[in-house]
Amino acid sequence: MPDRLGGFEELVLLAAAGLKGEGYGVTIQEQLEARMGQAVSVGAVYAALDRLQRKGFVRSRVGGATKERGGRRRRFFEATAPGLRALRDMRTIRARFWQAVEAPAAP
Amino acid sequence: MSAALDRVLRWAVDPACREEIAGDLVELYARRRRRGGAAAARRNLWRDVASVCLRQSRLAAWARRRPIPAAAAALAAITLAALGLAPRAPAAPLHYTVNAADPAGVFTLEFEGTRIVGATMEGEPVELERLRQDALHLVIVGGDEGRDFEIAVKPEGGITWQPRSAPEHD
Repeated sequence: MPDRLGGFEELVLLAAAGLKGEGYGVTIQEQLEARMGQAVSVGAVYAALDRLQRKGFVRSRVGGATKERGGRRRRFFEATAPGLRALRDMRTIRARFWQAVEAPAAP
Repeated sequence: MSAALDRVLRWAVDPACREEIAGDLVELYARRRRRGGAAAARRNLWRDVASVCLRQSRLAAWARRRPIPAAAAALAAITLAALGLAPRAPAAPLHYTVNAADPAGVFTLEFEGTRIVGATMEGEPVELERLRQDALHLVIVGGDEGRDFEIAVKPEGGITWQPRSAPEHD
């Protein structure tokens, strides 16, 4: 059975996918907070990214250092083809549930 | 960045992902400090450090799994927060370049403080992915005729290394 996405993993993967390979810890966390409207712990983001990487839904690469980071490098995350497929599968599953939710009640 | 933050991360976070996580924490601190002031940024920083330490044992895909006293590290972060210890705003680190030579050739290393941010070998830039640094130990992957080239970074600036041999010619 293929790996499934957890609820928070799905949101982290959506944020990474939306950043088109240029997302790293800070920007992914900011996207999540902006879109969810609530604080998100950076530790939770790293843990989700780690699970996603183990499932093969994201890959990462190390990028350049900046002065703002005290000369430390960034690790960029990018959604893989299986990751994007898993997101589409989740959207389809949710749509099926919503059809049932929004269908008129039987008399 | 304060020595306290470095100490907590060195204790709790695997070296394989420490640099990127520390960089994210410093960047987040700097952004929040600009937006909401030092006090709020300080609180959030130590909350973030605690959250990273508590979850560190799960970070395995891009780090080697390593037994760590995660809860103790998180407690240390919370304690530091309670004591109001702040990392200094990331002061502009000292930027310098080391020009070096040994029998194998010439190379340059560009530093921000003790962190390497760039290098050249024989005048050609070295890809950042080939520069691996853990604290004061630097490795240029494949920098010694295909073998890893190990360099020690001095805390006060500068480097020491075992000179490489001259390349063999047919």
